[in-house]
Amino acid sequence: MRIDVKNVTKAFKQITILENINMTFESGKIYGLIGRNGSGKSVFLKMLCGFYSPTNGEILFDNINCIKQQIFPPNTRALIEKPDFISDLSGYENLELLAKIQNKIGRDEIIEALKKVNLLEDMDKKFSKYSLGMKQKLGIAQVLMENPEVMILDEPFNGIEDDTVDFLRDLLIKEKKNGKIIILATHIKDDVLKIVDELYKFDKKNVTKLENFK
Amino acid sequence: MFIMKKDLSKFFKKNYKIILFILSVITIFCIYAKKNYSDVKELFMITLGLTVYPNSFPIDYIIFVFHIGINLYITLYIFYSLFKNDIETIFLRLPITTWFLYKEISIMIILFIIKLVLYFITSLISQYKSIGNIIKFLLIDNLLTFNIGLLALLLLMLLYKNKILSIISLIIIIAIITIFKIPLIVSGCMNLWIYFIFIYILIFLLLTKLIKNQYITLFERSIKKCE
Repeated sequence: MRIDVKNVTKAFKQITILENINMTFESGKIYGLIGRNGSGKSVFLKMLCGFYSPTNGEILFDNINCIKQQIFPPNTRALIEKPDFISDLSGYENLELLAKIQNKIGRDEIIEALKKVNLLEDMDKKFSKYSLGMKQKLGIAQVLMENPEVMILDEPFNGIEDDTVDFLRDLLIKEKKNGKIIILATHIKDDVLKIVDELYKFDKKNVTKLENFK
Repeated sequence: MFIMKKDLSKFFKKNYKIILFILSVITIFCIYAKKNYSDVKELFMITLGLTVYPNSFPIDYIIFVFHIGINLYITLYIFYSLFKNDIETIFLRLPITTWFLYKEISIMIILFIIKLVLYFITSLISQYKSIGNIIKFLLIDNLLTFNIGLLALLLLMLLYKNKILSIISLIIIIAIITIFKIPLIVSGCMNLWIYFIFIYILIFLLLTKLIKNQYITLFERSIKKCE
């Protein structure tokens, strides 16, 4: 899988958020996107997911312009906004219902995803009883469970305890070695420095690749 | 199932005050209108907005519009309810057209439940007990409501596409309704239900096509509205 971002500009009502962005994402790498709040990271991620269209330029998934084809990017999962599930159901039940949409996975894969995010003990608790960190972990679990080729995570470690963050970082490195494209966006550089292969900074409508960041 | 379960759960949780308000208004109106309508069937129909007469009291017209307002509120609330927190959870898993089908089913279920409760309360207060007619009214009322809701969504999607196009469409719709004398109240539709099913399917297919072509505009405007 390869994602090409070619000369992408995004404006809302004549206010330019991002200008002339060129990036390439390839399988087997973790990409970090850093920048202060409001620098356009979430807008960029929503364009990658096909929820916003570029004002100019194009985004290609294996040479396919998904927006022109009127489809969402294939085999892609994301966590961009605050995760919101059905409050009366347990964490497990929520994931089970989501999994039934495409019917690609069963109980084993859901349990495995919950194990990966350290949520197995709380899987039968109602979502309404979850802390912010637990909700975030469930959001990450829904990204992982169907084994997507592309994982997009915006501020993934918000509210999560340090030992689980380390656990998740190791997990993402493992997933990268399985050939995934992993895109992490954060305003806290230290969150991602240890694990990313390439780092980009969003600032003043532009995106700059940072060299020698390790 | 996720979409429908979430819509139902969220709607009733977040709107229980509005639902109580609706039930209170209809209950109070029905008790008040008892003095104006000695015929229990008339009282039943006026209370539920199933009919108005040229010489109806002004408050009867207000209740009629109130029912249309309830229908439009529920339709638009459910239609937009996904966009704040769920877009990546849902839309990366299923096509937009399938999402719209599930949404429409959610809208239909919730509207039916609300109407069922309103019909029950009104039947109790008005003492109108003709079960056969009540069921007939309920079914046709829902059919007409679903059509009006879809029409509202259609005009909204056209508005997103092109303001002038939506105004022209509205004029055409009003012209069609006027020329063909299409009734917009349940009492006038009792023998026309088959046509309304056909119209519903037509509008649904048209709207599905429009949403497929317009979904990016829908996301960008809706998400910004929610932010």
